[in-house]
Amino acid sequence: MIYDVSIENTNYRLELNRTTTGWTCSLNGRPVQLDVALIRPGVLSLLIENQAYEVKREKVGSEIHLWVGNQRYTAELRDPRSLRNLKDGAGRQQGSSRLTAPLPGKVVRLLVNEKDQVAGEGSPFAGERKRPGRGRPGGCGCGSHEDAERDQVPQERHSAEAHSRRGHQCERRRRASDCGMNRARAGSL
Amino acid sequence: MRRIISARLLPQNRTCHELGIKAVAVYSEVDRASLHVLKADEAHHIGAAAASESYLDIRKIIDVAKRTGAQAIHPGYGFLSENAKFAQTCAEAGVKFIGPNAAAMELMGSKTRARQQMEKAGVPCVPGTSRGLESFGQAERVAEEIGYPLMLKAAAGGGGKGMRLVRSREELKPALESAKSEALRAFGDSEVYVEKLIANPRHIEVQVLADEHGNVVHLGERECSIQRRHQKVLEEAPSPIVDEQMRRRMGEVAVRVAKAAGYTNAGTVEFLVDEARKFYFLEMNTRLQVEHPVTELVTGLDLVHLQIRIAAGEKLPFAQEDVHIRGYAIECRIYAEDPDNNYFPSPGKISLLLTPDGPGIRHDSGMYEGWTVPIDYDPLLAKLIGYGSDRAQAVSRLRRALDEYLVGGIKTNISLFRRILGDQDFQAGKPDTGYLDRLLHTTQVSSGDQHADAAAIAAGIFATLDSASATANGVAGDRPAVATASTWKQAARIDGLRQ
Repeated sequence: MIYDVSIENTNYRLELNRTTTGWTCSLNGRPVQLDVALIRPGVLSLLIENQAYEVKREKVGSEIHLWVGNQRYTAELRDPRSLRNLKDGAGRQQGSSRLTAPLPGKVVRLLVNEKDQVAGEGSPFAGERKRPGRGRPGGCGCGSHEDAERDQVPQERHSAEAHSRRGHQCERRRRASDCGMNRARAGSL
Repeated sequence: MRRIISARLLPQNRTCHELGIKAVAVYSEVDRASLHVLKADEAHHIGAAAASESYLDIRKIIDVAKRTGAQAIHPGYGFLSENAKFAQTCAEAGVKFIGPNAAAMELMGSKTRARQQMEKAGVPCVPGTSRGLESFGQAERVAEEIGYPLMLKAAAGGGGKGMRLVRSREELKPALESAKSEALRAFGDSEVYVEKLIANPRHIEVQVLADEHGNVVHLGERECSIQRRHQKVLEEAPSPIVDEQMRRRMGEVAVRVAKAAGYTNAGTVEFLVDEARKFYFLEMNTRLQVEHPVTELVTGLDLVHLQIRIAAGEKLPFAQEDVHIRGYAIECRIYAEDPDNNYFPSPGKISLLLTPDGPGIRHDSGMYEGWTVPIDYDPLLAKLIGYGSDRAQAVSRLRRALDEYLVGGIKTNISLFRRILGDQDFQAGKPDTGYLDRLLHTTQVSSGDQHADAAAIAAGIFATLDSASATANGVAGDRPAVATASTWKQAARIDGLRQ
């Protein structure tokens, strides 16, 4: 696997391969002697050039934090060969994006309905996104008067430009889902 | 005693079990999965999340006591623990309130009445008034007498509410009005009194224990100067500035305070200590304190155990000369709050919990992995206490333990303690009550990125393992394997791919 890793805004090119005897690793083109043990979900023991590290991973909302000793690092990771990443990198204003609740609490009122047109500066969730951009809500993850968890996705937004393109895919997915459900139902009967 | 009721506290449950007493938990609707309920022998739902409909509802708690045949109620800290009316209602219902009697609580609940009583008993108080200010004119006269700067304080106050710093005559009138208004809103009592401001004070408190046979002892002091917005953050025992002679003098005064109030059970006498190490009575907390574990570690005594024995009518099992302070203990209050967002509460689900242990480490916790921290109450998660034969060892053990500690899924103030314990002024034992504000206003020096390479490699390994797990389970990363069991979804996905 090849990854572009960003740790606190420093970029690394990481190549990892899993072999029958362990891992091979190269960091920024430099071979690194590596031994890995997964202690439990979210906790790794690494031996890098015989230096021991315990690395703990925590996910806070959409962020990934890695603790090495008493130091916390915010990590971002991309697969440079991934088509999705290439697409995202090409235009962040296009495609769907997620608006998340910054704190848990009760959703008192929904300001928009699915498929409503949203003006450039008019956020459907005030204060949650500074520049919401144009688009229309693609689906709501919670309803009015429901409790929202922190970072729950109350809404998925499709940009106006991407909507017609995505609309076809959504319809196809919906049909696929319906067909699958019918088939499974039939199978179970 | 056969049954004791407690609310939102685990130590009471544990001590009850050690003493062969049934622990009866009461809980609100958001606390069904709380640890104090899980570890209880019986648990009774008492209402909605709002404390006024559950933990502050005297009638509901007394009802549970009657229904279960509980002989006593341990009020813990917070909620009704310092409510004289609750203590009185317990007495009238024939249920023992594990704490002082209602009269002592009422006396100490009013800071002005407490000051009056302490002055009579010859206890040193901060220069100021012992009665509420009746007018602005009176406030002006008193202020001229004692001099600026001064503090206005709510008689029924606590936690910094109804408290104002007044530096000059011009600030007095608006400060008096806002203090009165805030006191009325917070405590239903607008009485405000005035005290001389002690510059750069230390907040040091003395633990006392009094049985119902007239015996009163003190268990030494706790240094509680590290505070943020008048709330204690880190406490230690003994205080770095208190020597044996000062400890004896403060202890004697604390015992005098307890006797003057007719106090029984565990209580804490708080003092302000000035730069010349002169101490003044501040107030008495008529309950067990959050920070009591540091006293337990340096004295070897179990305070909750002793509270229950005192409430059962037993005499104190030791005398003052039997109390010895050995070693140092430091406590960090671990809160679910966001250090990057002005310490705003950070409730949510704990996705990963790694707790420290090893020599000299005690972890009193109310959380577990998978538990959702409710937004409705004080977000105290745990208390991490380090003990050592000397202060330096206690500090180093605690720093090591903090490095092992991880509460994932929510934000906590653990990083704040790493910062405090690594600070030279703290290590030199210098902090006063303004220390933490000063520390937080300084820019934190980055500790470097010597482990950034390891973090980068770990990020890739986690992603690779997630990907392998997703391939094996048919789902992404950390989602549980049970999610893959849906035949409906699998069939839909397969069908979708075929089209």
